[in-house]
Amino acid sequence: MKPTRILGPLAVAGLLVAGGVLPMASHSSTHAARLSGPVKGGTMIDGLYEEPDRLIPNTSSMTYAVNVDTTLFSPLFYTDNKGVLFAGLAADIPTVANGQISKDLKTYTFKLRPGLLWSDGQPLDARDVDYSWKTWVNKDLIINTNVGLAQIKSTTVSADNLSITFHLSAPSISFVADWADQYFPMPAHILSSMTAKQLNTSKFTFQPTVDSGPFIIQSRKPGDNITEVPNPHYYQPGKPYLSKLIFRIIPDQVAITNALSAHEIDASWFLDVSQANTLEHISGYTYVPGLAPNVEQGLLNLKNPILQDVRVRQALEYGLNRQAMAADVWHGAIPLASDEMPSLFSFDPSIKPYPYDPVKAGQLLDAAGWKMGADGRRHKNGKTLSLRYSTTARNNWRAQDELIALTDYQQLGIDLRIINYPADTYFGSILPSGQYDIGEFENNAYYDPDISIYNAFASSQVPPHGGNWGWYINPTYDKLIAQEESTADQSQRKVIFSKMQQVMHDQLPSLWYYDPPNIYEYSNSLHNYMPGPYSGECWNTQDWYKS
Amino acid sequence: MNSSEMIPSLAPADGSPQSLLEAQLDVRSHTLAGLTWQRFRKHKLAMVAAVLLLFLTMSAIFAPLLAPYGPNAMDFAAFNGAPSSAHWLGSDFSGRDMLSRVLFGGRISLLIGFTSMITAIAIGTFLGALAGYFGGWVDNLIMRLTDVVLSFPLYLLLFVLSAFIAGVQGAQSILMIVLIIMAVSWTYIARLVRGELLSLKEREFIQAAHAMGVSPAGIILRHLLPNAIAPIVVNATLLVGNNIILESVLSFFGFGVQPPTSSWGSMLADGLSSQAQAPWETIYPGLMILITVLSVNLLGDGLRDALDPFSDRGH
Amino acid sequence: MGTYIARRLLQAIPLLLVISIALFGLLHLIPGGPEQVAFSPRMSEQARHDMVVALGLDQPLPIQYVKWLWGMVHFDFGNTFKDGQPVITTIGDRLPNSLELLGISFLVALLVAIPLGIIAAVKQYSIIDYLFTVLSYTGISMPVFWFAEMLVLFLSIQHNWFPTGDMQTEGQPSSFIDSVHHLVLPVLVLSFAFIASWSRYLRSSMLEVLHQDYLRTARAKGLRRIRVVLKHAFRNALIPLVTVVALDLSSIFGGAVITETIFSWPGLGRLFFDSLESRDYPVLMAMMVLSAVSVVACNIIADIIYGFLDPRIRYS
Repeated sequence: MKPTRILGPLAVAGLLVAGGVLPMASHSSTHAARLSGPVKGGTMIDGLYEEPDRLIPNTSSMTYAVNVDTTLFSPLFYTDNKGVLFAGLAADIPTVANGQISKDLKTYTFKLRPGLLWSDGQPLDARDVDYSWKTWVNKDLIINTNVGLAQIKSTTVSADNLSITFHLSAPSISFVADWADQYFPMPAHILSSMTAKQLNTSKFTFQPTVDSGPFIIQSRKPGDNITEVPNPHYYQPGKPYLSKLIFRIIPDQVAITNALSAHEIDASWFLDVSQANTLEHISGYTYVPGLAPNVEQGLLNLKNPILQDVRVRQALEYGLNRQAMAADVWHGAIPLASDEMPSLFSFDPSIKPYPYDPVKAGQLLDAAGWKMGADGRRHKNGKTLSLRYSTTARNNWRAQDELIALTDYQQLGIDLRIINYPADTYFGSILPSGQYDIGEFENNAYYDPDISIYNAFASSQVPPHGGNWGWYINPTYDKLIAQEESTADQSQRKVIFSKMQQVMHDQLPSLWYYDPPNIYEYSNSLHNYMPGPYSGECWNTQDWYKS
Repeated sequence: MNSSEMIPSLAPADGSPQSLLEAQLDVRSHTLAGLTWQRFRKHKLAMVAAVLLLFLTMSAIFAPLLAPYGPNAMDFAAFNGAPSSAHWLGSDFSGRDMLSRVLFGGRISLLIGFTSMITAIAIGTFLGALAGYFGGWVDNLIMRLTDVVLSFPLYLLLFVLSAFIAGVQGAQSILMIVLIIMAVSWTYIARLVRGELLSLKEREFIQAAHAMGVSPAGIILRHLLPNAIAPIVVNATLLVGNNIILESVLSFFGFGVQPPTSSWGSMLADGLSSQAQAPWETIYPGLMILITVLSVNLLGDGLRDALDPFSDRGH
Repeated sequence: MGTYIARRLLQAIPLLLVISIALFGLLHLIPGGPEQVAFSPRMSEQARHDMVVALGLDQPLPIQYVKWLWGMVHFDFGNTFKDGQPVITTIGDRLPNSLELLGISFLVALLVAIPLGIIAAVKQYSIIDYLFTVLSYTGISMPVFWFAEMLVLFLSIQHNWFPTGDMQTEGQPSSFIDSVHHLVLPVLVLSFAFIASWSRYLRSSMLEVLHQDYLRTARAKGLRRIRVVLKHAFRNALIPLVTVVALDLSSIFGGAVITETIFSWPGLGRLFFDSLESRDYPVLMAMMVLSAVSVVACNIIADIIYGFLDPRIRYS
């Protein structure tokens, strides 16, 4: 019952520049309104499902490692629990208006706050940023991602070391957001003496000794816990409030539930919905199906001739009781999906999900030439309507989805063969090589909807180039993508995204199920615990306190 | 066994040794099978266990007739529903009827238990007989093979083998699990059979068969194995219980039968997340496993006493 | 005796070599590699390939094996794929935890199993024996994880008598009492299985011994029953039990994986399981070789103790 860590909500965010419609408030004012009487001191114990692997920034793709990293390192920019962007270590957010982004979108200048210090008292400035990106593009270093970094041609660091200017090889609308919630600057004065290869196996990757986040590691017991204490040189004054933050590693979902039930841990994030029945009834704790930019979908393999007929695809959507999935698995607490992942910004509520209409589904199949036979199966030109349904193995709630699909499609006369795979095989080879017909998985959107849409449905992203595993090729759709990528005006982009969602809804390159939340639970004595959709659980550990 | 327990009712009142001996000789049957059966009957627990197992097997076979619903029929009004008139044993997290699932799950669990036992016994006996009869390099090779397998902790080997299962449908996963369990359980039988054959093959009647020109296969199949049958049968019985538990452990780690197929083990593992809220989801499959394996163990105990009363081989 | 041990150890080497080759092949046959597991599925092929090269997985298998073997001979087990730390530290960090858990469970199991087995044998067919049979068979007939989860439910959640897991309470200085408090439930679970099997084993081998002629002779000579039982029967019945216990000792490398999972005990079983998930070959190889070594060692130890206890056996 592993969560899809590889599709975790790492925020490779796309920020829209120039004339931001998005509220880009300054850091302190909005936050002050949220806090009410924080109490200093206190220990918070967080239940972590997997042990983090590498804690050097950007060297791990594990959701849980990034979580812990966020408590240890500060980002240049970050998003809050509503998905609003703020400046962190940076002095402000670059825009064309304030001159920090060139009009041709090829030159970006990041300014750092003056007087920043690493936890060992050494200065933190633009040189660390310069060192960091150069290290991350080094082929020898095992990294998580280099989105946005590959296009950097050169950089200039200012004389006072407080700003760094990036010269890109091509215009980019998302360079700032690429740095949001990730790409935490690394301490050059500690790490620059090591080669990239040495960094892969250094002790620092296991237990960073110098950092810039609200906490520093006091001790780490492998397989057991990571204990953190406040960073004396943290850049936000008076914070963090907690005097101890402990990540307790509990590699079993039932054990996490037990620890919450016995009040041994204060919170846990990214919980498995199979535990919901018990989790919802723990006294003194709050259960939250948290807002998340996720869509559960059944990707259709468009190389299968059966699925190339849009009527068949629509029949599959009409004939599937997705409401039952939402009710069964998620206790009805979530919305159905109508199209490709709605990010918080571009969601168009006027596009409605398909209703459950098995009669209409049957009619569509008839119209497509698939007639019901005496054996309870549909046939056309001597072929039986048979499809492979796949998803990740060892996942209780996906098994429930499959059961509903099996029942519904059997009634429609479709021979459904269920074949599940371990997650790594599924994403690593089955989906990219098209060995499925209906592939269920959860897709995550980023801050800018362009990133996930482009990756999933642009015709240039078919395997092996990208994530268009369904081989959806639609020149009209490609044109729309190009339009939204070249428009800086947010309201215009929203209109274009609406059109794209309509295409997704009508064309059904994938079956759209529902929007799964990221479930978390926390003790009522813990305050300001509010995991964000893009920034994960630990974006604001400096604000947490216990009463 | 305490001799005074044998046939108390036939002991003469005066207790003279001569009469006791006569009494002990006065048994109702003189065939091997009859004697075995008589010894077995004394083992009350084993008799109860045998009846219980018969009942369980019958209910598994006739599950489609006995179950009120299909094993995967979802009742959307009864997620995690408590036992009620519609669902006598309650319903699970998908609204599926527990009674029906227990009945159908029994088919899978018993199937896996028996099939993995039979294959393990077959391979173990075959290899053990070869090793025991031919000795020499054949024996060496086979024993080294068992050494290699036995040098891995059971669970670690199980997990490594389970990692090979990729892309299997529900029914196929049963075959894979049977193979995996067989791979870790054949070694004990092989060693056992080898040991038996090693001691048996020096006996005079075997040497006589040799002299008469019986082929090695004939000697093994017609003379050696039948005399070694007792410990094989006992271990075969115990193996069934062992393997049912192994299957439930596999399910706990997610390597067991894959949905939509369900066994008692996978039902038990699934129900753990609602232990407190919906205890019927664990109690019934768990109880079925407990009763089945307990019965199998008691049966094996009884068989051991009946077939082989003069050798207690511990495990 | 010395030459016997030396001979056994020498014989073990080719066996271990074969085991390591079989293992290496087996592990690399498992579908999927670390570059598939660790990576986000939308990462480019290039980045995935870079990771493969960085981990040395692009070279032909025999070369990888020889490199590994060469390192092994120098006691260099390499670095884990997961976090790049030395394998020996990764295993070494968890070894004491497993030792603590298994060692104490063993002790408790012995202290309970031996008296139980003796009493059940001496009082055969009595109510005590009957009860013992039912309880011990129930113990080995119940899936261990079910038993453990029920314990947690009753003793940790519904009544806060014991913690739900882990080795110590976090955020507090370590204390002996705290450690013991955390050991109770896991040890209860682990020792339960051992007690059930060892006590039955002891009982049946005691029965075998108790009915033999030389004991009747001892009784006829007038020795008190207790003395007979403890001095003669037990010592001889102990011999087969020793072998069983010694073999169970080698289960330190992974035998407690269920207990470690349920009680989030940071032990070796859990390490193996997680490493298998992430295809962390260096860790897997090191652990399985170490476990093979420990099985061989335990076998030799069992034989030696056997020799001490049973004067009829002499090793040349």
